[in-house]
Amino acid sequence: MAPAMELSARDESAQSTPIVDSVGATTTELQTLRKLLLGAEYQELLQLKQQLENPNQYSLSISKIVSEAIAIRAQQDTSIAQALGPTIEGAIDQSIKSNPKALADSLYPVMGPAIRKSIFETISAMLEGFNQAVEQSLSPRSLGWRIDAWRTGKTYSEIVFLKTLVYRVEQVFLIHRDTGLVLQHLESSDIISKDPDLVSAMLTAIQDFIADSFQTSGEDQLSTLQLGDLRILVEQGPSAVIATAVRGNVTPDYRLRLSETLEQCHQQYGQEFQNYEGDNTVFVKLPELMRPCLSSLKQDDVEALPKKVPWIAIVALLMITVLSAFWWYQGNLRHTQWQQWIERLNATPGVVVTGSDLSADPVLIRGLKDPLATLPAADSAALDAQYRWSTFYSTDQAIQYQRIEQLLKPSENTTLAFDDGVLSVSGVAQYDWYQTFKRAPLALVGVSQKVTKSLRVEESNQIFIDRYLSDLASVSVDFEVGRAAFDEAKIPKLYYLANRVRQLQDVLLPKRQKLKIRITGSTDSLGTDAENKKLGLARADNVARYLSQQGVILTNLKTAFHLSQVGQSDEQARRITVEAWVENTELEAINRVLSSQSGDTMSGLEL
Amino acid sequence: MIQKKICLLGGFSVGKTSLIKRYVSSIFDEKYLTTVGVKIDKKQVEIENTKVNMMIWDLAGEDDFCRLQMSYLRGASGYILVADPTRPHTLDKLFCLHKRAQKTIGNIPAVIALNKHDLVDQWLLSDSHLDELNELQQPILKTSAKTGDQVQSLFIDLASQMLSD
Repeated sequence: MAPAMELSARDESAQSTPIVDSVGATTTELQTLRKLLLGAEYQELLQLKQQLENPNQYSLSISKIVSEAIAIRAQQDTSIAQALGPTIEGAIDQSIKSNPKALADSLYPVMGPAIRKSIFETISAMLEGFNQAVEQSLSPRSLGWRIDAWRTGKTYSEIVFLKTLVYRVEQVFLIHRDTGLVLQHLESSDIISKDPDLVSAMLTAIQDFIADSFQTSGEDQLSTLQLGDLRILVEQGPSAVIATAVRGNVTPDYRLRLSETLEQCHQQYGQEFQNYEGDNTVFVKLPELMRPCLSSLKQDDVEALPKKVPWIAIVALLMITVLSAFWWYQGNLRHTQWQQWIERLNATPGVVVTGSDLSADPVLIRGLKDPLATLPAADSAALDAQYRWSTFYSTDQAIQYQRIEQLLKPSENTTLAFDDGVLSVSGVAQYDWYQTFKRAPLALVGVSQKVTKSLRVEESNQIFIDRYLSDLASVSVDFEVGRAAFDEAKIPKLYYLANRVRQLQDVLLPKRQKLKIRITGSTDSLGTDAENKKLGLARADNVARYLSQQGVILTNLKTAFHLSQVGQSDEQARRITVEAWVENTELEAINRVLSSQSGDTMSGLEL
Repeated sequence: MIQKKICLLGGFSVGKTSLIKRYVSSIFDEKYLTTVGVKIDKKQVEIENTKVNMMIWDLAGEDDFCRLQMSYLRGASGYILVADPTRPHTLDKLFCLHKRAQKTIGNIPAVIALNKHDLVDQWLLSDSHLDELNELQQPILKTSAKTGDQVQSLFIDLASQMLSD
């Protein structure tokens, strides 16, 4: 609209100027013509034109609608925010450059609590952890502090400092920041305070002095003065400063209380502080607001603070105790187990433990071991050790006995007993074992004496028969020259022979086996063969008769003659010999045939 | 009761501390002790039924080596400019300090003390100095800390100005 109007206005002037210059009368005529054409609206149009051309009027008319227009546009889209953003940033920037305090002051009520809250949360989180650790002390004080120091990794002095968080606020000043005049002063009842006016002024002066004397940035402000155990804590506000004189160590929350109080004072009297003219009568609420800052914390209070039962610490300590006891017990048990095991090993026959290393893993045991010794079985898998044995021959009785057993291999009916070098054999033993026993090199295995009194030696039938048969075969009875009868002196030998035959018969007859016996009488070659034969047979018959007298059954007994060859000695020529064999009934016939085919002359003497 | 902060400004050894001591404690000591930084005193006066608690900031005298820090002036309701006419350059210092004070805290009540009036025969006031003093359009009192002459009036004058301000 505006550019169009401007254009029409320019057109008008562009047209009118030459007309006025050339013919002056025509202007009024044109105006008359316009009036005629537009009537009363002509004046309004002129006014509008003027309004647009005059900057003051134009600004005035726009100012009436500018805020509404912005509001309407802001509802439609965000272009206003975008357009104004850089401008506002620039304005704030300019404001901070020209007077930073103004902005800082207006932000103070917002920023102060926000910053403090954030810091407080950080600190309290830190303190919480720390306090927790501190509170979990269990033991008498100083020892407890030492333990705390050790446990928290802090120095002992830090722990003591924290443990003795005791303070007393003696005075509280609220000081007008610019003038250094005291706005309110509180003191604890038993304090003799110097003039608070002077103190306030001096505190302000000191701050100025420090700021002037040392290069500090404009933002830095005095926060603590300390002389011995006295501290002046100062919190700075935009218009007022709160300062407290404190003895001892303040807790961190006290600082917070100070700044909160200062904020409350500013909230209440911010305006009054700014326009302060030295009149304190308006500040009626200040004592009440500042009262919380005049507090003290006694050691009793500290101790009276509700103490959390340090369950975690108790449980942890209990666990540590139990664990260490268990560990100790385990260690002890393990040691004892090993000791017992080694004792057991030592008690085992044929084993000698010469050394052990219980700290090694696995445990190392060295010693001597007989090859026959068997290690006892371990009770538990824990006793898994590495063994280094050297072989040796143990003289231990049990091992000796084992060695004897291994050597003799007695049957289950034979009982061996070995004691102090004496080997006693009892029970029943087989004949051939007994032979081995007799030949065994028992002295080598520590046997110095053998006792076989209560041992019964048994033989199997076949062995018995074979032995007796061979016994019979070894018997010969010599005769005098030309005589058929035997000497009295030969009777024991014949008795032995009779006994053997009878015993054999006793064994064989129940089995229906035939004991065949042939007694052969031999003669020397002197004399005629007929006489010799007669003599030889007579000798055999005499022996057979004697056997019969001794109870020998003569069935299957034959006598025979044998003429000794030239060259044989006389002794050997005049004798009888015995042959015996066992024959099954079925085989008898065959044997007979075989006998008859042999070269020997058999007499048919059947008794 | 109203509290006011006032400051004493002046060159080195013009007698600021002595004036305050005379006023607050009615004591004069011949010994000279230079002030370092600032000393603060308090005096209560009653002017037109109003009790005024004056916090008197005695600022260290300024010389060529030690420049007065104007930050001490902050929040002051009035100040006393002190010069020692026996040493005319202290008057130059006075004018200089006045300008700086005005620049720092603006136009606030001020009173000029020409101190050591007991030594008036040794004063070395030139006409130009007098003209310049008059141009300041501030009350000028000829004081003597030693005799106590005009000392009371000096402070009362300033207090009255501050109250009527």
